Amino acid sequence: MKYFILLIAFAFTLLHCSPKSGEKVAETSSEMKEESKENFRSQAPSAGPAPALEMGEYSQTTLDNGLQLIVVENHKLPRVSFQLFVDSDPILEQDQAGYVSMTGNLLKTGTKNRSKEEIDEAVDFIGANLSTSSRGAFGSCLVQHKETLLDLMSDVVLHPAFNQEEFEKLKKQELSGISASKNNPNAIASNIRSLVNYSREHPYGEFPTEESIENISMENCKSYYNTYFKPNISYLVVVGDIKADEAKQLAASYFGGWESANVPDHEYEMPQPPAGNNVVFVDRPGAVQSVINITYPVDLKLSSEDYVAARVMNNILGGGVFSGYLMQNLREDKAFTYGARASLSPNSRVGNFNAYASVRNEVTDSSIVEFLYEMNRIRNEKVADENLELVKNSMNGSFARSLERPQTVAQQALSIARYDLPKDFYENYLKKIESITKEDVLKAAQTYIKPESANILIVGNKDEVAEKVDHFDANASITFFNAEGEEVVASANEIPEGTTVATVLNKYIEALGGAESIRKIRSIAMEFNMEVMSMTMKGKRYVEIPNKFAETMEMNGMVAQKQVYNDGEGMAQSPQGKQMLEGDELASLKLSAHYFEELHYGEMGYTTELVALESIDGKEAYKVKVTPPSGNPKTLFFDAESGLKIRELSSTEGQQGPVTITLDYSNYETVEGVKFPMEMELSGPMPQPIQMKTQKIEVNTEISPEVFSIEK
Amino acid sequence: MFLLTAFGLISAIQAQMTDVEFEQYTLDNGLEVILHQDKSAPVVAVSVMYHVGSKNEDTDRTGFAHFFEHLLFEGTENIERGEFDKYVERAGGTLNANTSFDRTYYYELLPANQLELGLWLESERMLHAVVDEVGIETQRSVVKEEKRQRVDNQPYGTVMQETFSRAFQKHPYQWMPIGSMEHLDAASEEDYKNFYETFYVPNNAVLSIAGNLDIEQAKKWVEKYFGTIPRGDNEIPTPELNEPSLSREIRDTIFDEIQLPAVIQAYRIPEQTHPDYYALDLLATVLSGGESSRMYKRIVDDEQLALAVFNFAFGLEHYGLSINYGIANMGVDPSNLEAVMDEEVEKVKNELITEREYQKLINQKESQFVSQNASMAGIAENLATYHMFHGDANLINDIIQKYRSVSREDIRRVAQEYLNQDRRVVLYYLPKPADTQ
Repeated sequence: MKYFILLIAFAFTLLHCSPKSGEKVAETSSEMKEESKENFRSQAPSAGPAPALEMGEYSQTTLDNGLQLIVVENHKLPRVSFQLFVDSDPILEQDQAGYVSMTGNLLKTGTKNRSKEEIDEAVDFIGANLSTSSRGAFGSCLVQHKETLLDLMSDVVLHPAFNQEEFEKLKKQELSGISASKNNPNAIASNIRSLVNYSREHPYGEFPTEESIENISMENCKSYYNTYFKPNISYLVVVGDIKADEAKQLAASYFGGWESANVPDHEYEMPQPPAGNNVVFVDRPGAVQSVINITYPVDLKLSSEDYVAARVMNNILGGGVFSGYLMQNLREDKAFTYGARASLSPNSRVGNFNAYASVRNEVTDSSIVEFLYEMNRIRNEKVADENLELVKNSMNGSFARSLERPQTVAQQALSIARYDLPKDFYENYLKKIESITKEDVLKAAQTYIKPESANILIVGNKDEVAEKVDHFDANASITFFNAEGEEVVASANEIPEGTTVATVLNKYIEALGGAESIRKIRSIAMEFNMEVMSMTMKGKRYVEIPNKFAETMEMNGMVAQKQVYNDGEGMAQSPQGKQMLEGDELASLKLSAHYFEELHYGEMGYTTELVALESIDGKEAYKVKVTPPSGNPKTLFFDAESGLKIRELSSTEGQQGPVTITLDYSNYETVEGVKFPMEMELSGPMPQPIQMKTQKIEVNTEISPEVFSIEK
Repeated sequence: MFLLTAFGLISAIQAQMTDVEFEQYTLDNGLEVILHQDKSAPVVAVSVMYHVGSKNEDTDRTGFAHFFEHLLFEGTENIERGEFDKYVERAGGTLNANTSFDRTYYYELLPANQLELGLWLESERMLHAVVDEVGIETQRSVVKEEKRQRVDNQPYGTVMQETFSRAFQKHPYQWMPIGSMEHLDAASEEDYKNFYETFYVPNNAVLSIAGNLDIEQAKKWVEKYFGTIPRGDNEIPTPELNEPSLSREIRDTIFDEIQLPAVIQAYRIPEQTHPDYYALDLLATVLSGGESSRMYKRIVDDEQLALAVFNFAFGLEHYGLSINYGIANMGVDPSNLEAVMDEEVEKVKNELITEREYQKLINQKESQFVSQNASMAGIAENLATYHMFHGDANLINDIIQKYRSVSREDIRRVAQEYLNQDRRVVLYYLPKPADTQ
């Protein structure tokens, strides 16, 4: 995953602010100025005569090998672009999901004539761009370099080397990319949305996972390339400062030798929306926002009779800057979200509808209510004249402005060719927009908007949100998925009769060595190592039970973090400075000074609750929720058999929102009659779990008081 | 040599083809007007660039310039709150604005027959935008949300802030355009009115229009809507060039909610109009322009040390920074990444780049140059920018010459002169250490 974000980070010193419309408040009057004489200012001027719209021309021919050539001449600037588009049917990748995309990326990593290094150097030398994908290639350059570019482009498309070393490098990059987006709620939503809309029986429903990427072999990629990269299903779209006949000559020269062959085509069953609303949930423990997608497949193509009406209708519902129904309701009126929109996407095989927003946990259910309300409203109520006019004008203008770019004309030509549309399709587009009536909008809404047979996908905090949304499901039950798309069956484990939170905590204390042995522990001094990325940090923890605690973490000899609690006062130190602790943070550190917290919840005002019996890593564990008098609760898991604590989940505020931290305890060893975990694994904030290993632990030794001193 | 001559000749011919023609004049009230006509375009871009940015702010009133960008969508004496963008949408157009350290820029992209609407809208803003408590209150919370979303909640979102605040200690470049929320809260209605009256005046602005227009009609409308806007009375304050060079290396570590460490190095360089700026920009291309560039090839491709790495010559009106930025791959020590980044910089200091590499740079720049004038929106902004900062709008056609006149020796020299390890800011962005509690 390329961090182009960075480049944008630099550009962001230019703060691009989309226009914000505030509430409509009556004008406050200001001082009258001289320009009261200039009352032409008091009204918007009217428009001039509408300019004639020039659609832009293109020429189209077919080469002997079946390659279709589309040329859009535009001599304004001395540049030219070439798009090679391989129009193959999507295929099912199944256990090797992701190999088709990898094939595309592989093409540019070497040919029979050139290494990657040579390709990159040659492209950069002429100041060009060249990229490849599973659907072909794209290149652009100044016109004097066009033959060099075509030489390179045809080389990568026609003679890829499929180099093993480059393949391994690419695999690594893909895995990094998946790992980096694993916790990204929008990436999760996108994948699961595809899955529930289209199912695994359809190529649109597949997405790569770490496992599937590992399964990919070079053979998969070679085989895909050899089967599908053929000229007879492909287009070469040439745009820019070039004459059509020269383009034809060059196309024949560089791509004429590309041999045609039969290419298998594939048909799939048409995915259907669910019979009744289907609530699907992906848990992101600790999330404070829900990503909501109300979504289902639709049968909508560019060539559908009501395509234009459907677009107008969708813009009224979920488009516009702030004028769409969804924005007006969920943002302007209710302030549930920063943005609520809808998309209605046509596709030659199967399209989809998606109404979406990210909202805070507490209003997830209310937001769904409002989404469904607006979806019903547009089905039942005719749109107001004002809204319809605004959307039509906006679409009109947007279309007209898009004609400034010759690429627009090229893409239109490509669509007409691929989908067999009438040649005047785009010319008529504007006329059609103009002719759309309120009745057309209503009819399109009734065809395409389905508030009663939608997938309601939520990526969010299961503990806080799931219970409140099951009633939206037609069967009042939620289907849970994990990020990889596997259904997660909520544990059917029954808590045995007589087991309570008290018995669970007592068993834990017994397993540790018993309350008496624990009470004999006066002080603990331990040192541990932590592997963070490729860095090793040293940790030292000192406790004088019950009221002194100090922990430092060092890296490269420097103290990276330090926390100290001393009899009512607490301090935290980081390279950014020192801070005296108060409130919840102080209370939490105070509890740490007891060390064996489970003996002290009552007196500290904590409440505990036995939530469930769950499976953790194949073994049963009791899930206990621990809530402090104020602040965030945490969740503890105790192995049902041994009684020992094996996991702790807590949530902390990060700069990007809450972060869930998971601590797994293992390898308990006895010291002075009491068990301590020698190994801990911390996961959550980073892509790889952090291993913590206790190096040394001493109990009831003297600890120098300056360890706990707090300097102000 | 022949190769270079051939390229030069072709470029010269291309220059003729792509010259952007325009008319330019100044109104009595000081407003600079620039018009570019293109009858083949279906659009017209109407824009105003005000010569005010975050560097014009007081040290205890930062964030004003950007805040005003928001306020100027709120409404004017003749445009009700909430209506400004509706006028544009209804007319089939789109609009936006942006603020930087040095200027604030507003533009509308409209169908060709709506030029007068665009002029009316921008004249309304300039003449009598409504700056009152209601608008100020509304936008305060909006801007706070914006800061949270764009800066505080973004991985590496604070990099620029942390870099600039160390590279500049006296000059206003030390703070970001978004400014301080406390300052915005503390400001009074008087402060805001004063800012508007000082900076939002015709003699501090450029009106730049490009697209399908009729020159004579456009001039008439410009006179009608902008001619009677009074010149500003107040002196327009500009900060002193008071920042000394860095005298040492400033090195710091910042812990952030990120997954991969990042290394940022910043070197002080001259302002964007200085002749050395162009050499430094070409140096950036040597280091990171394209996959065959020195840093990309070695660091991202061959040694897989980073997910991304680049050098960028950030030129502003008063000063500039040359910034190296790398994001380490999983398991890579940032100091290892830094060492290799430094090595590549040293190479450029010690050896001239090859003739072929030089030609590559020029070719890359020429491609960029042609593309930057591909749209009416781009042309309008470039005309305004070249006039405002270089005093010469015709650089829209000539700027490439400044690059062509940089030699290989210049590139080596500027690397030696400005990219000095003893005088720079170095930041490590590291993932926050584990919280074991």
